[in-house]
Amino acid sequence: MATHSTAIKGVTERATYTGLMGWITTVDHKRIGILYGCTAMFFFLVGGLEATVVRMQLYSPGMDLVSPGMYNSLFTMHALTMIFLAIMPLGAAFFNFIIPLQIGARDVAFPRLNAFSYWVFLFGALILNGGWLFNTLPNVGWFAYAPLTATEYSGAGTDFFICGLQVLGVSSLAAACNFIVTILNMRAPGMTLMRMPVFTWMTLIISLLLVFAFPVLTVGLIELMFMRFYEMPFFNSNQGGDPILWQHLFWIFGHPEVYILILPAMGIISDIIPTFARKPLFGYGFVVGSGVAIAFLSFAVWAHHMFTTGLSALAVSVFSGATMLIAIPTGVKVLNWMATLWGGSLDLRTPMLWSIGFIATFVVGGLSGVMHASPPVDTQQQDTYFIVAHIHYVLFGGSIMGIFAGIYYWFPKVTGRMMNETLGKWHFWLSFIGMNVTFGPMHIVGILGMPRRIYTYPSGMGWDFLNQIETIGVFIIIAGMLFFLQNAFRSWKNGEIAGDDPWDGRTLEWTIPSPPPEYNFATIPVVHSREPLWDSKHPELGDHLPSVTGASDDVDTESIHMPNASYWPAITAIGVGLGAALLMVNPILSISGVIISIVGVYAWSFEPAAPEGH
Amino acid sequence: MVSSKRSVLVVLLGILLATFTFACGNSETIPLHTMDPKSDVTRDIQGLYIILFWAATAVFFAVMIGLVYITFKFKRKPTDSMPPQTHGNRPLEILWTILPSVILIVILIPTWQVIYKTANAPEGSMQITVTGNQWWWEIEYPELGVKTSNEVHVPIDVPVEVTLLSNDVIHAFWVPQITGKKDMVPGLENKIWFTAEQLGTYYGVCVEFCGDSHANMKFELIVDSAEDFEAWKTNELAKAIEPEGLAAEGMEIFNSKGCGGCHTIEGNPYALGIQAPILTHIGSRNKIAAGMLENNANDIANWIRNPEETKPGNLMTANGVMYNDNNYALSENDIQALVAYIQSLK
Amino acid sequence: MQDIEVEHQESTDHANTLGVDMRKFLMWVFLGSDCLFFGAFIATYLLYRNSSIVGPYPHEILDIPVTSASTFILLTSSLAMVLSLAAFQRGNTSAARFWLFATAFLGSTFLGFQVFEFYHFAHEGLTPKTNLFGATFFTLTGFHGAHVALGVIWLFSLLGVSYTRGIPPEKSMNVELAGLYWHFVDIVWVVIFTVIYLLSSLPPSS
Repeated sequence: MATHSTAIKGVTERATYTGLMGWITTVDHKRIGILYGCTAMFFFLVGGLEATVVRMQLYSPGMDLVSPGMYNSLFTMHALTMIFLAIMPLGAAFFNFIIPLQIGARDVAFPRLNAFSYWVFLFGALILNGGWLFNTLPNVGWFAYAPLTATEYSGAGTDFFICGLQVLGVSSLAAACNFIVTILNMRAPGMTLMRMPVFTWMTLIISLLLVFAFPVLTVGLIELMFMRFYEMPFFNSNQGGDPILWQHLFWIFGHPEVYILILPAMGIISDIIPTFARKPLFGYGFVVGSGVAIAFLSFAVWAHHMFTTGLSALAVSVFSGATMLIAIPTGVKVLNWMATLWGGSLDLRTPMLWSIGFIATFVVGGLSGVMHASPPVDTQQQDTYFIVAHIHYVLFGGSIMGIFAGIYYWFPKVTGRMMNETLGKWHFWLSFIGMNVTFGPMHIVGILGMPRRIYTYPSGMGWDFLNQIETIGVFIIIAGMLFFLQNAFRSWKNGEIAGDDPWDGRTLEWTIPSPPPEYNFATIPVVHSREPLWDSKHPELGDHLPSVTGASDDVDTESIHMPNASYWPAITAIGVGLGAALLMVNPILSISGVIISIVGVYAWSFEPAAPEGH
Repeated sequence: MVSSKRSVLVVLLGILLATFTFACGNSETIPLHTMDPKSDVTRDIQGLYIILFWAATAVFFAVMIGLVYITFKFKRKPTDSMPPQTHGNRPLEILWTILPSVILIVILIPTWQVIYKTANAPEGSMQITVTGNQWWWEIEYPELGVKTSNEVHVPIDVPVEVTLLSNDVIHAFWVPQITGKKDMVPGLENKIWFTAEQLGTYYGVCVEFCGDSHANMKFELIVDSAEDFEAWKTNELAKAIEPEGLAAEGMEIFNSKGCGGCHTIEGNPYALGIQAPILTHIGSRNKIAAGMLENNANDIANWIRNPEETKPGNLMTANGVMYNDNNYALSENDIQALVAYIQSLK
Repeated sequence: MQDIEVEHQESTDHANTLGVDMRKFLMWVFLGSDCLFFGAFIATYLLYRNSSIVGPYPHEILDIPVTSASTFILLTSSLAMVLSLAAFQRGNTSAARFWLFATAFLGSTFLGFQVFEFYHFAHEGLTPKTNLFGATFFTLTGFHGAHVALGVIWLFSLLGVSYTRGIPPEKSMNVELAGLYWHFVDIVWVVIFTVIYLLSSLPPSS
């Protein structure tokens, strides 16, 4: 174990640590990916428990399981947890682990910035959940419409919401900038943009969305914070402020955010389906192009969340048209996935089941989305359970299904071991049936007029039976999750050894050992086609040159430069988290956090990124 | 293989059937049903709804049947050789870019028609102003001089324009059978309009999350015949009835506990407050506590005894002296007297 | 394989896919993001331009001649920044240090003007709490000022580094990054100056 000081003196030895310090100081994208994945999976379970309590409260009319205030906190925290602490970081886990492997790189562009992103995410997650300690959770909905967030109407929970999201924003922004540079600038020789795997493409698009969408939320949160802390009249209608401005700022971020949540899943299944169908993705260019089109359109449709706020008829018409346009690229994607399946040789193993399940449930979410893209119809659906059904078909039936597809697909690469197929199939079928039982009846109960975000309802509204079914569905999903947890823990240590390429893969990540060595590629591959591994395995198929992939035998891996481990990213992140947390107590105190961050940034700037002397 | 395909189809049809069975209930049994229009505006929305529903259903079945068929047909068999490595097909791509566009245009044209048709109220519509408060509704008929709370009366077949305001946070006004949702935003004047086409009592709720008791903010919209509406209006314009007996005792208690600091009762000089529902003719309303409780002696007594149970976070519990100072606490006799007073306010 | 072997290490100038320095690329992406940050504040300002229900109003209190002077100073600092970077790239250390100091000094002077302006406004009765104009004005110019302050700290840090470790031409990217940031902050000021100060001389629309 070399210490940090040896590296400082310019000795060529590399700074590394072992054990817990090894995880804290790691700058290895694969270990950071695992940190993201495990943290996010923990919060996924937390968010799931919150949802379970919510559903149990709604099991029958007039239930008294939790207080109204607690119920409001639970649905707020469920949304915040699932969006910011589960689905986004699960996506980030894949970006971290997989992207460098798919583009043939040894790490991301800025390994220490990458570590910083993770630690800031962790502290943001802790701040957002800090309300549990003080019994003042956010209870204004994840959308936090002003003026309900003003100090007159909501307590300190809103401060945890503001400070937690600001910190998470720093993390997302740093990670997104890092991945844009990594993907555009660190591709292996020959990997042109149109040879990138679709998952890499979608990650690039998501990163661009984050870079341009998140600052708008940051500004909204700053204004909200200044209104709460310093009585500035931003959204205060008594002083001429406009509460609708918050909604504009929030949804200009919030709608791209929806695509930030769904596009990773689309990328994942675009990689899985060709592998298990043994044929290339149908219409690669159109699938990528649709992703780009969705990203562009996502900035032009935010007001469809605001059809009932009193926008002009013209604005409503324009935004409904733009919203419906999104159905076109989405439809193109679905049809291309189906065309990829057509004529293939479909191996229905667990990752493939999740991918086909994704198509089935995501289509339902897409279609209900088109229904309330029509503003008059939206006035009868908005804020009813119909919308709850829609978002869960998109986020559970879409994002989560895609993420589980990805977990089963890449688990062998991450751990070197296969997950158990039987348990995996139990997990899939229980989740698939459970989610349809839970969220399917919500369409109907919404049409029967049940509003969202109500902690209780009387009997005699025609909702009782359907709510019971929905609550039972949750327990089917939980049963599925138990199979997953059992499978993951067991397979991590004792699963069948996977080997480099267990699925007969097509892209670069399957050319290297599982789990990959720290340097990933002993020699950087040269890419001649879109599916380099597949083409090198089947030279008879095409006129492509087979791709050169790493022949590691004749390479001295000791000579590969890898970056130094560093604890400064974690310390800088502590500064950011502390600064934001203390802001809730007293702005003067939060200067201490700023000072820690500044010290961290200076030390970071002056320490060598890699061993010197080479 | 064939039988499993058929069973998937049966399940899908079953789902559709179940959806229909549930969706075709009526307002007698399902008070907030969104597909049971009783006004011109909701009828127009319903027409659009049906187009969208069938378009979505058609696409749903096309995709599901296709997906199930493909999955079974191309499932890997041991004899499979390498499938043909097709990379795409440009005419096909163009076809399925255009196809959804056509469907969308079919949806978009009637959508825009309905948006513009329902945008502005006809000239000379009857005016109502509804103001949202945490968690009750203030209702004013500026042309008629009527002010009331939590119960909207409209005459049948008369276009009505409702101006929506809010005194605190954002609420939303929604009576699914009569009018679609519209937000009530502090500092903004939103408007909706409708012409009710069938007599009856319709349910309305707040459908924008507005705090602790968002679930407990309801009202009734009653469509009256022209004569009934006239009679209602005449009664509302009158001052409150002078109470007698136990009710008069109730008024004493009402006044001595400072209830009038927040509530208005026309004719009671000590009841001029504007922060709480107007009670002038509360005895004639169907419900109390913003659509939460029945207007009978038992429910009124329960409400006065412990408002927090019905409406957590309400201002009456927070500000009412009888709930915060033991010296002013209400005895059971006080409550019965107050009930008598409230019931007398016909 | 030689050109494949050399790749990516942070803070090195190795070849890469697009041939753009990694850190420079990162800075560009960050600045793109920052555009949206200022864009949202500017949008808020414009939306609330005529919404204040009590004074002081923009046309009563903004002093265009004084702010024109400070704008001129900030823009001059951009010129000094260019000259400093050019000197670093040539290896002319003393000129480089002079211009680097000039940039930081002019930036500090701009901040001085801003502090003076804020005090003056507070004295005239305009604080962030007073009205919407106050809230939007102080947040927009305040966050710009914070960007300038950060830039000044960065420039002085570089000056310190040039004395201790030295900044040879092959490490001039360290200065170029600060320069990119600095020019961006100046350009943002031009937009803010137009939106807040120059527009205030127009009669308020109804």
